[in-house]
Amino acid sequence: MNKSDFRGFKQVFLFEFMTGVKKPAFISLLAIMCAMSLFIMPIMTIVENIKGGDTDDNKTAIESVYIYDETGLSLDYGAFTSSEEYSEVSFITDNKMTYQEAVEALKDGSNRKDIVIETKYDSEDGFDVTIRHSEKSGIKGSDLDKFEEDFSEFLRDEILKGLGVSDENYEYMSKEINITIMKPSKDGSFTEDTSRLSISDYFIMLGGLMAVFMLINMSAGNVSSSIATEKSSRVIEFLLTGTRPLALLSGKIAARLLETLITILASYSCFFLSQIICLLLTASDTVTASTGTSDNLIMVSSFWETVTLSKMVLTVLYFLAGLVLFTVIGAVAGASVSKLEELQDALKFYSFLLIICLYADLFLIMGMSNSGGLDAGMNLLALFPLTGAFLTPTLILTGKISIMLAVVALIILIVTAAATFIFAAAIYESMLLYQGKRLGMKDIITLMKKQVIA
Amino acid sequence: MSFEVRHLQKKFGDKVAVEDLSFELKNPGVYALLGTNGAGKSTSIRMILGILSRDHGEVLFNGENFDTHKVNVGYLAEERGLYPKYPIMDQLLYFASLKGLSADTSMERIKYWGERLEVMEYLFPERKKGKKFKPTLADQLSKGNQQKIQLMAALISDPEFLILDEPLSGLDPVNTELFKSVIHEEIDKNKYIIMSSHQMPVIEEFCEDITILTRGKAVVHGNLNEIKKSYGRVNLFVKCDEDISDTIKTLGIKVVNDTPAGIQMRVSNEAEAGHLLKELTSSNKTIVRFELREPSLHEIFIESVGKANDAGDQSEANNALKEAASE
Repeated sequence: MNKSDFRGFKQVFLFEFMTGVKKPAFISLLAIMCAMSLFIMPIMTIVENIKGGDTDDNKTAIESVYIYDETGLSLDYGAFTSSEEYSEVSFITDNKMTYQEAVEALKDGSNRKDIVIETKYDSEDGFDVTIRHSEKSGIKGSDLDKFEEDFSEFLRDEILKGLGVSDENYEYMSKEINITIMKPSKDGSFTEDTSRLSISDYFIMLGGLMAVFMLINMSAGNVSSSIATEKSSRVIEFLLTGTRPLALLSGKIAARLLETLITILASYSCFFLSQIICLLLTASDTVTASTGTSDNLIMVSSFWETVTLSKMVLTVLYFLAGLVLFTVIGAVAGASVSKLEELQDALKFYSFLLIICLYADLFLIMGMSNSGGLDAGMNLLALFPLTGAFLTPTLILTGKISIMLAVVALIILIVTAAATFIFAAAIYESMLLYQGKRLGMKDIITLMKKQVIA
Repeated sequence: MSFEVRHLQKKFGDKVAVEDLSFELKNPGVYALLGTNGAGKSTSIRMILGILSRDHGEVLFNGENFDTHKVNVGYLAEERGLYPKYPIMDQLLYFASLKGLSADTSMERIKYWGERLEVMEYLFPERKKGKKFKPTLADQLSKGNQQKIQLMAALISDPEFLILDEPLSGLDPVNTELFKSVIHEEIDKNKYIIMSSHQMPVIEEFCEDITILTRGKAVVHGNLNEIKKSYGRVNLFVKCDEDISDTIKTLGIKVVNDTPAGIQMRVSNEAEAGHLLKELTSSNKTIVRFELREPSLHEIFIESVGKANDAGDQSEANNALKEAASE
């Protein structure tokens, strides 16, 4: 492999890139990724805003609440009605209607905006609250969700007050509790057990894994079909008088890398824009901002807070190296066929490899979300290039693996990708002019030994 | 300036694709590579171009190793190739860029060749108002027009060396004439051209030197006129109003073909033809046509390939017999 082997690289790269970005598949993917990144968060925010603020003056749609309390607590519903949201709600505790009569009234639909609450206490099970509403209730689900949340909070406050907890102690007790799970490391010190996944980490890793898988699969698929097209249309013969096989292969891969980078950058830009839109949306509604509306924003924001520049650089480099590795394997699959129709068949092994690696990563993520102690498995899959290509970028971003381990994984991946490229280049050169039945691995190695291409 | 192919050899497994092929173009002009299907023409061309490795031999241009990246080469492959779903204009610009042409020069040449080959309407389709511009894709063109685009790709860099592998196959008579005129133009520009074709009259029209390949071996090669002369004027065509078959039989002349248009014969020498003429005139036959000529390339081709195949078959049969005997 020398410099002259890459003659024509620039031209191949430009042509592949320009034709690639004009393809409907690329335009569709870019549009979908950007639309998702741009609209999902604002839509969620708007929906939350609507949930919390679609009634007049932020008032709940509930008109009357029939209380049947068997806990023995003396609950003061005045605290409840003191908030603007529930100021017009009647809390009926007089039991003029029996519990059964109130429930029957819900059934006949005459009290469409009423609810019936039954509270019980059991020394073993604790407090049991049942909220009933009519079949064709005029109360929206969002109102009921909000009421459920507020009633639970109200009940806990009343219990604490009933126990004589002072305001100062109450505030103290309301502080957030942060728990860190530690485990002994080899040097005897305790370190954080990162193999456990929080629910937000779980979704971030799952989403990241799928996004990386999709981008790698698309890139490899594009390169393999491009090579198969050149072979089946016999344009390869003409191309080889102006360029070299290695330039063709590397030009295609480089074009796919740039397309993927553009997709990521465009998606991230849209995501960044969506964060600004969300901030504007939440800032315009102080009531909803103080409630659950900003939860999603907070979850994502807290994730980005932990992302450092070194993590970002490592993630991007690892992702690109993984993309090269799988794209090179896809290129070999594309070069092994003479007709475009045979490509699906040729990609069987590649697809099998891809799915096995993806499932291994998925099982690890599921395992990590259910239990800890999977450090060895996580490190192994992170270091192994074929599984790491999908998993390691999110492991780096979420801080599940150390920077040192990430660097080692990156070195292993780069070495593997380079070795695969050199090996694949030799195979690719040998197979370019081959026309005939689809080549198996044995045929490919035989052809490679003969060094068919000059 | 000269182009030289020395002892080119290629084997695919046990099969010899090309065996010791050598020829030389001392001056610009057209050299023909002829042969039956699978004779090794395309393999030889691919080896000359350096897109297929050689087991043995060398290709020299002006005494130096022939490198398609150093010499401006145009190639019209036998297996016509275009990206079926890409606009033809994009493809031509790409092919031109691979030959090192700037965008402006490429466009200039595309316009020239587009007009010359009458494909402007496909290269520059009309932009209709209010409708999205749709460039012409390769698979929207007829086979002949695709071939024109291929020829454009081969000629766009104004190559000093041109390889045309079956340039006229599949073309209608009008486009055949168009292609021929373009090839004549290139010859007039003093270019080195290697042409492969099954159409012998085309080869006779363009080429001075030829090589006939069969089973990877050059069975005839050299200057076409000299090759013809070496066969002598042995093709005799006679048409008389009367039946002359008895006279021919008496003289023992070999009849190749007897048709209502006349009788085609193979004489052993010119004297034999003279003897027949004498006989016919002395017996007062009305001679409509009496033509003694050298064999056509077609006849040379059939004869040389046929002989080589017979020899090959005989040799194979001998080998098989030897093997059987040794067992």
